[in-house]
Amino acid sequence: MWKYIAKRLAMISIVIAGVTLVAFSAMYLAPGDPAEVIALARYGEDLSASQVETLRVAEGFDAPVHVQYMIWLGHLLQLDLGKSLVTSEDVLTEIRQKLPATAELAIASLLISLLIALPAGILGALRKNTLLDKSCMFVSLVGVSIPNFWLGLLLIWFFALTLHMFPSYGYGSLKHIVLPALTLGTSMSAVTARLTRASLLEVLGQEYIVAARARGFDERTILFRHALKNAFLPVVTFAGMQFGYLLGGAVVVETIFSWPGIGKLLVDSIFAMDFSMVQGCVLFIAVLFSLSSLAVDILYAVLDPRIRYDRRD
Amino acid sequence: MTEVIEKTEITEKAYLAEKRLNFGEFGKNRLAVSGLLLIAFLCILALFAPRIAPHDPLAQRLDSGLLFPSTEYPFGTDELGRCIFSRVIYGTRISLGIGLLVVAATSVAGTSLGLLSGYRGGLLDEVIMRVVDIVMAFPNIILALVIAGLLGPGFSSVVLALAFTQWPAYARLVRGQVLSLRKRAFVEAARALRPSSFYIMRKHILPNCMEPVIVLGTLEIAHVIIFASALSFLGLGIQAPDPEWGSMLKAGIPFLRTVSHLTFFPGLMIIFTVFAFNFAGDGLRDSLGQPADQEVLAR
Repeated sequence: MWKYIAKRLAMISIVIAGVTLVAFSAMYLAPGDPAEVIALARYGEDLSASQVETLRVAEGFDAPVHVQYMIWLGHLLQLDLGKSLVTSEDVLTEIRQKLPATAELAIASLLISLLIALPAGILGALRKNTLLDKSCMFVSLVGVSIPNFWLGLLLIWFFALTLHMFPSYGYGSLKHIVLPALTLGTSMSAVTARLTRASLLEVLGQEYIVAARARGFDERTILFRHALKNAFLPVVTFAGMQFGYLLGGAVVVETIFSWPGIGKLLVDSIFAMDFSMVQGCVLFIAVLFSLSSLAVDILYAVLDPRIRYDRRD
Repeated sequence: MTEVIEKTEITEKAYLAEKRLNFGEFGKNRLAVSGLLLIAFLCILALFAPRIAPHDPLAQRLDSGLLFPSTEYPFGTDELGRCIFSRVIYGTRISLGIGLLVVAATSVAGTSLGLLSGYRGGLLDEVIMRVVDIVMAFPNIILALVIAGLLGPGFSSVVLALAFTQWPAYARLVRGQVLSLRKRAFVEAARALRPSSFYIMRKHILPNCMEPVIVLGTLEIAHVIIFASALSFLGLGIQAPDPEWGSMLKAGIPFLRTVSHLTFFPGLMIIFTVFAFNFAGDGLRDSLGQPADQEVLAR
């Protein structure tokens, strides 16, 4: 197990280096001179050529691109992500400040999605091919096709602007999190519901369930004590895989609801052409995502003793 | 020798027949057929947009701004007096265009790299698969956002960014197919005759990989269209005044309270389109008897 984890961690560092390299390259493939773009953002329209040149030297834009990337990686090894090019805030501090908001949103959305998906999926599997099952699956197919930004606007229009039940933007109270979490949670629940249904159906067809029935256990005991435990295994991994979707969705949802998390920070920094902040966010999201998928794989092995990562086949 | 060839062909034919797209099965899948019909309808909208749309999608009439739906303007007008119905119809050109372009490019590139990776193996396989891992180990909408945003918004940036993030899915899929096909008797037998590896790949392996690629491609069009409109919605994709659905939604936000049809109709159009491709893709997959791929679903 430890060998496997070490191998995965090595892989993660390669992935992170690769992703940040892509973001770095995109920055320099972009039309326009980065030093000039930043100078414009800092000093406004009437700037002199000398201001641009000073900034170019001060921020290290005069070095070749690969040297700049190496310097950035060097700083990274000392956990130094640099300072924002626009506001001069420390990038790591800024990201750390935004992290709780994103984490809250992620947890709330995951809870909402499971609250919708698990009952729907279980009900669908138990009442297979009935009207109830079919309508659940139809709704979930429609759900996958609804873009979360439209769902968000719809919820704002209905709950915030028409009913005045919840605020349409901002951060702070429990009321603020309802609409963003509902947006992200419902759009995630569609796929989870289908997966829960498929997984439970597969388990219910297995021999040990038939055996349990033959021994005269009632359906409720069979479902809760025997079937669900195994049916939830793929759902757990899937919830982990959806973490990436969650982060991606958070970028959009945070922007709509002015939720002060990492996603909004990333979008704002792209607009401001704040390269060091963009790079920091990309790095942070990559780390978060890689570690979470590693955690899910480990959890999977812990939950299911049949899975061993070290054995060679 | 000829006997071997004949036997090879027989087993390959049997294998293909067993896997071949079952049109009867597909025809029975009502959702899938309606998906295909919806796609055909969308293609007609895109092709004949100038004839169907009652107004010029870019023409501004400031005296008739923010009108509610009427017979002249079926979906109403936006704040600049542009006909939303016409803009939504012209929007199919942009969204289907991006979807088809990205999927065509990524499926060809991804399939070729997957074939190469699976058939050659060795260092090349290792390098290609590590690159696939890197791109796939990151939420692809965010990667596309960063690339498109930094390159500067616009049609080509969106296509480039999405192409970059979407090809690995095909490479991984095809590589897996190749690895399982390589061990099949008909490929082994074909190799005994020592033709070039290109010949084997083209003649025996590629045709047997096509079906899952088509299913993935259909579902991918749905993904790409959502991603592209999300980018435009955030202001990092197609820019106003071009009638892209996502950027129309963004433009409608200030009027959400009073004239919500500004955001309602473009959103409905996105759902309609994505829905069509999801249905068709799901139906194709069911008639091919393929299990749902978790990784594709996860995104």
